[in-house]
Amino acid sequence: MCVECGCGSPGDGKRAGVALPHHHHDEEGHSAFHGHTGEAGGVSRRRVSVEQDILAKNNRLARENREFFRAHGILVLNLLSSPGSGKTTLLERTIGILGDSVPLAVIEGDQETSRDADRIRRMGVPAVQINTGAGCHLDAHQVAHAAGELDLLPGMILVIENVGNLVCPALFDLGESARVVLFSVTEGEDKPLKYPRIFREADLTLLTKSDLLPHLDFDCARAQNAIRSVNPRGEIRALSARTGEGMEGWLTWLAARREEVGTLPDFPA
Amino acid sequence: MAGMHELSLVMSLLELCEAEASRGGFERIDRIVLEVGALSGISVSALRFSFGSAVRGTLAELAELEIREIPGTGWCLHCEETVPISEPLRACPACGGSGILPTGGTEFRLCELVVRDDRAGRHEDKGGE
Repeated sequence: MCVECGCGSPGDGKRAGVALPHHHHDEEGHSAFHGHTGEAGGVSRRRVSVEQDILAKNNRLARENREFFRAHGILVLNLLSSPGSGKTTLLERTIGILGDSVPLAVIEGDQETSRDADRIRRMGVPAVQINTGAGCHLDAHQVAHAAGELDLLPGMILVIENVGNLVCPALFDLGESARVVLFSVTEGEDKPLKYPRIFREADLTLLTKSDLLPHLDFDCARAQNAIRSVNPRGEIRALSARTGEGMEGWLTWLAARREEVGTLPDFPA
Repeated sequence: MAGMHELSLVMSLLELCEAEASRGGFERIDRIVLEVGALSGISVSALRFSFGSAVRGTLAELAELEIREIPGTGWCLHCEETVPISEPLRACPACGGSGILPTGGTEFRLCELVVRDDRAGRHEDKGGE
């Protein structure tokens, strides 16, 4: 059982491919207690020095996820964007092209419904839906449990489609190998300046729906400058999952990342 | 925009407080002191708002929230000095360059609690018949 949440932990068992991640529920940091007591009204008060990062727990779980995924040669992508910029459509197109050549699995994050996971499963790819309810992002703990429900295999690509939101998911490390931010050309070119945090940490920014460019006033150079101004290092590519234009560049990037993660010698061919 | 992530951040904060309480043996928190950096991606006003609704029924229900806002600073690789920076560009105000390593302002930390001891909490019971 998982002590973090009291639910049955998937880490208790083993699935087809690899042993699943399990959390360590150790104490985080330590505190220094000072005995400043004695206040008015006979109430004993004291100061407790804590000095702890409030995101420490998520960061610790993310670190455990990352170590687990790395140890099993699994490339994990955290897919981030506004709602409706084409994350699921990109996944469908990618699955369609890769076919059986690369084992894939998907974790879908949405506030409600399993529509996205259903779309992925229809393509023959295992998918787990996380409904966050009032929550606006996925966290490392949810991802560990969702990963436990999937038959993960060494050498697999695990795509985590985060909740459509440019603000909150930026703060929560999931243990991914890379962050991919989708920025559709139907959005404003200055979006990276308005939501700098999410764009700053993108390893790759994909300008999506490029087939619509002839119908729009969207200025690609301006958009790219905006991305560059907050994130000088990350790669930028444009594509249309609908027409397939630019998909090659995305797949090349994907293959390179997969090579970096490496595959284990016992990877079933 | 009052991002809802401030609410889950407050929940994480309260979890930390609960852990401190079981470790330190106190039942009430009078004051919570946080550091929130200007580059942390956290809105102080949304945090206060979420705090107000999330603490009900917890050990921090009556706690005062003290937030120390930390300004954004960075080391400019070009100017070779510490400069003030702000979102979204984090550019150097002197040279305009973006080659800056943030050195301050990314904090989101629980620094200190002012708490009431269990002993004090049970003080009234002790006197009762």
